[in-house]
Amino acid sequence: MSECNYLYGNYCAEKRVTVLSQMLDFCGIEKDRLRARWVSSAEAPEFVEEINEFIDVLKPLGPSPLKKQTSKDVA
Amino acid sequence: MDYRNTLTTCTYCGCGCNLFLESLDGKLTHTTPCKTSPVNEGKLCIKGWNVHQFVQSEKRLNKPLLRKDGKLTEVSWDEALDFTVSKLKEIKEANGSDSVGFFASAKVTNEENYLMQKFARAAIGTNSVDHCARL
Amino acid sequence: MIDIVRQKISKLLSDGSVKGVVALAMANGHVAPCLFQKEDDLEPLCLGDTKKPGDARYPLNKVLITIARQYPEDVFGVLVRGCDERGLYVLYRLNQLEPDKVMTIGIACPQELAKACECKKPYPDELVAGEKTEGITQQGVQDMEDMDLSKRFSFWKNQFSKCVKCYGCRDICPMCFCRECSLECEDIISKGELPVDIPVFHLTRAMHMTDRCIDCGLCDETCPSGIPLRLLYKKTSKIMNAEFGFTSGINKNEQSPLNLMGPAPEK
Ligand code: SF4
Ligand code: SF4
Ligand code: SF4
Repeated sequence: MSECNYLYGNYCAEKRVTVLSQMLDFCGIEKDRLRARWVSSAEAPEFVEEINEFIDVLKPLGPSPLKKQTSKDVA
Repeated sequence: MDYRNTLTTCTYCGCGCNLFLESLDGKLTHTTPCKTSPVNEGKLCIKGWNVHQFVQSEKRLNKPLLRKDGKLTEVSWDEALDFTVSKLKEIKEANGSDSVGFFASAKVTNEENYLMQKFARAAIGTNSVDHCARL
Repeated sequence: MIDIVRQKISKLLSDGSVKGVVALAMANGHVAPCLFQKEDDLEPLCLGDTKKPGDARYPLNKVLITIARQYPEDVFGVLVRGCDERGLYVLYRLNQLEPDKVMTIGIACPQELAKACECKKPYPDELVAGEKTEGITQQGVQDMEDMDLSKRFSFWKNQFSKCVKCYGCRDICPMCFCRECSLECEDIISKGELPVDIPVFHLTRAMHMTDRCIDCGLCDETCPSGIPLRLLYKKTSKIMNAEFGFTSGINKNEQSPLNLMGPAPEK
């Protein structure tokens, strides 16, 4: 956390994510759909691992009920 | 320092929401819905909320324009009205009263709309009168 | 109560401590924000109570900002309830007003209004008129939290889909002063389309109000669709309080935890 390029920007961002995830929950949206992780651009394997983990969480939740129908879906 | 809130009625549609136009030293700064109005009870639509903007808009037409040689040119009201009268007469004589249609607006008062349809029916002789609220 | 307020305003104007006082006036049978500049001109003064207490409140701080931007050297007075004073503290923090250019005339709200507002602090720190009453506990948020997830989902989905995108919640809010608004950014909110982007529109606004909303309820009152916006923002302030011990507008020299360096909350 303390190695961020933007000094304390990521601390602020994490606090905002804390609030947002609870707001999602308040509005009835699974808060697991939101996550923030810090991975440096030099850490490719960690990045892949994070994404795979996230996908494993998201898959069982399925598509969001709020997903907008695009013109492709309608056609 | 001249700060005012002027009570007025929204010009955008026929609902007639009451609002305050806020002005500071003669310039409009904001619109605020009137809470004590039984019509809109402190609420407005997006047009009403921004009603102060068109008054001072640079794009607003202040003078009549007439197309001369393919170009819109500023003219006096007299010239514009004379032109309109002569054209309306010409069209009516050539193609009959029903070749002219009238389009009224919610942005003007009932009385003006009344005059508009009266003019259409009595002076021109057509029932083709419509209104922008149907758009 | 109104006589005490009138006396106070009259005094501030006559001894020259302020250039004008932003308050409410009754004219043509309607209540409107007004700038009082002469001490013998205070007849139309009113406190925004017509049928019920506080049913004709207006964002006076917003008016004050408009005037102060034009006349930055002058000192102005402003009529404040508890929420308005909280608003001033936040506006000082965000550099929209200067504390030494503002003098407040504080009034306390009656119990009936405090209950309707579920208000934490229905009186200002600097009280001129009225009796302090107790703050009220926030039952509405608790009731919503007690519902299960799917119930909450359908409740808010129904509420949000009523939105007509009038932007009134933003336009009336005394804490909204940005010249560029995220709600008009087309990368976030689609332009000219209804239904509104759910829940992006309302949560974007909620997130921007997290450390600003002072729970005055004006947005709720102006929403033509009757969306319980205040409940949404009451939840954000509850989170802010639980996570960071912060309540916007409670301390005059507050700082927002969202902009401060500091360890992330322990989860
Ligand atoms: S929020 Fe509190 S201070 Fe403001 S009007 Fe309501 S009761 Fe009064
Ligand atoms: S209650 Fe509504 S209008 Fe008042 S500060 Fe909060 S968001 Fe703004
Ligand atoms: S005031 Fe209500 S209807 Fe208007 S934009 Fe806000 S939430 Fe939507």
